[in-house]
Amino acid sequence: MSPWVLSLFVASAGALLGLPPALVLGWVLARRSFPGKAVISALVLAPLVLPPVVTGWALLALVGRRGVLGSVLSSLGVRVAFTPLGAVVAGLVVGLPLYVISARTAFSSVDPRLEEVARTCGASGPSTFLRVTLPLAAPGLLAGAVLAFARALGEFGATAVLAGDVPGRTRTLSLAIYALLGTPGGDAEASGLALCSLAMSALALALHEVLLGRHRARLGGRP
Amino acid sequence: MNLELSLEFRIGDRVRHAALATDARALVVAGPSGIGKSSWLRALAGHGHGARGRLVHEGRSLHEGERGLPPEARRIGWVPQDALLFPHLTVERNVVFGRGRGGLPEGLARACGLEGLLDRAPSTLSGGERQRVAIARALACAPRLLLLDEPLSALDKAARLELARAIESWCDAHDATRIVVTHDTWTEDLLPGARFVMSERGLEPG
Repeated sequence: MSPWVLSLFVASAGALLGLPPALVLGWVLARRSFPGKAVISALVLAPLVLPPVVTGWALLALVGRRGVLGSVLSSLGVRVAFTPLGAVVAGLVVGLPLYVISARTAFSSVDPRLEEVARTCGASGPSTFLRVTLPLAAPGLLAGAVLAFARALGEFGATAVLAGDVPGRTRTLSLAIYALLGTPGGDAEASGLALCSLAMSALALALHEVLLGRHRARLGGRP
Repeated sequence: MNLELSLEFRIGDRVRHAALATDARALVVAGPSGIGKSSWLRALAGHGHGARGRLVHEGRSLHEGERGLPPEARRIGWVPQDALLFPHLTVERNVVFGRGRGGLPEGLARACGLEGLLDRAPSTLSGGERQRVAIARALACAPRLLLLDEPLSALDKAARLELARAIESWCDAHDATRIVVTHDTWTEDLLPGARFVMSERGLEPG
């Protein structure tokens, strides 16, 4: 797989697979208070402040062949470390904090009294979530997906530790740029890839702004 | 008794108790703002935590002890003071929100003065128009008990009369009970009923 294709695959998988946990965690953190909430919040946000290499190391300890989860997975025939799946896991985990923060903000900005009105109109709890809460939070959730996508696209440290740098197999865009910079005469190609990467990130951030604008408009502000 | 209640409910951190028993089908609850009238209506509708006591309407128990029917099973219509329209739905879809597959009830749009507004987004409406939509949305659910929180406050003089008539004739036609919460006298004049006053001591006939 070319670095481009692999990186786009990793980023898309991060945005898709991250949706269910971001949805659940974002909603719980926005709407529920319970003992241990701060701990859960800190755990989810940790990859945001940890050096990515450390996140990769922690993941390796967890899902590596001798890791707690990894030994179970490998008995099922699933290998995560040093495979493309490892790159997906690394991208997912580093992108998740941004995803959850966006989802939490999106759910917090929905007036709970609108849900009360929906219930009084005869909608059940789940129906209220699907017909009122989710549509109102949707643009904010999408904005989170874009951020998670962009973050996974640029992921380097955790990927290098967990998935390694196997050309054609786990060498993502960032790893390819790094490898090219260390190769005599690779500068030109590295610059090209770097510029493309820059353009994609800028595009993602612009899309993020558009979605946030739509989110605010949907919540009742004049568009 | 048509309506019988003795309910402890929360206003922020404070707990207030209100009791009444009446055969009237039209009630007015007056009292200074901030005394907890809106919180009381919310508790009647089954929202918020910590309500205790009993609430019986038309022989149906809506709340008993610590437990109550979920809001969607109470057959209550609620018009909150600031309308609270669903911002992502058009006026028409707001009004029919609680009607399942049933469409707009015959004559309701006209009675509430919504003709010409049905395709509009709530963000494009004036305060008075929002209040009309909120009233229509509550009536469209065919409630047995209608809770109206300052229902005429955002309307101009002519519109007040029109909406008060719409509410009154709907309640008469469906034999529904209404509780109007207000602190102004013209709302009481337009939607009269058995009068109660809410104070620190609770609800008292007045």
